[in-house]
Amino acid sequence: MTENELHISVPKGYFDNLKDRLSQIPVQQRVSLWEKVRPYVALAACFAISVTAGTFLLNRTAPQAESYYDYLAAADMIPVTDPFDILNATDSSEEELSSSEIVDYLIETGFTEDQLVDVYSE
Amino acid sequence: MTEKEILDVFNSGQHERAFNAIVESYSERLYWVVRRFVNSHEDTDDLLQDIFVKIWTALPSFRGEAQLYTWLYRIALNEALNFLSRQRVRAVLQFKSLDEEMERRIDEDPYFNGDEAERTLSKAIARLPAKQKTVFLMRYYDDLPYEEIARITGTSVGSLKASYHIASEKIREDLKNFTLDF
Repeated sequence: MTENELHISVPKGYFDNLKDRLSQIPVQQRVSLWEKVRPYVALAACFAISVTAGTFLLNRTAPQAESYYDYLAAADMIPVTDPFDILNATDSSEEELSSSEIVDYLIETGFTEDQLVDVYSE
Repeated sequence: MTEKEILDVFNSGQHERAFNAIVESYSERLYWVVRRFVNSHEDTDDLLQDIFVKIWTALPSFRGEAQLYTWLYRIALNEALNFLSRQRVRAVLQFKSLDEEMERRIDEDPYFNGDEAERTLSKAIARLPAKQKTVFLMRYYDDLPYEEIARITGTSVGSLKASYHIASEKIREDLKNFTLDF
């Protein structure tokens, strides 16, 4: 035992043990700082997990927005002509060409007069 | 390590090394300061832990206006006096007095090795009001000059001398049957 002029003592080796314990205070204080912020970090982590999980579930369950290319691919299936026009169409709507229209067409495509005479004389 | 060396180490950024030097140099002295006030080894041990946590926390704010030991002593003294205030409230709630509680502690202290005169002296000191107890303990056991006590306690030298005189008279009265010098 260590004794002083107060006639009081301490357990043997107490001061060595005390110094060892007190020297740990800076380390303990660093841990304590983590202990203090840990609830806030946990709260932030819960929020981040909730947002991530919510976004994931929404993406899984909500209908996907069509892309522009998907729209183009589907365009082939969209009828350009009104189906009622097709049903109501009759052969009488087709006009027959007159002989003068045929001659004009042939001249425009490069037929000469001799060739035209040959065609019509056959 | 001297006070100046400790402060140089701290100012160079080696805070933990400076703190460990304070622990090495002053923990034992501060133990006895607190022990005289609270009369219990276990409570002193608990208080020292709190005191050194405060020292570690407040060390960056120490500007060196006072001597390091004066600053450390003030922290220890405040903790000890706050402990006694809490003990006084606790005693009142248990329909006792702090004096009774302190006398019980001295009687039951397994680490007390003094004779009856020393025990009576300890009890007489324990019965003193906080200011008288503070100045008496600092003068009688630490042999501190009044100027140093004034710096630690933040009171005037004249007031301290008056308190010491009153405390001495009370203790002399309690010890009239013994031969102790103080």
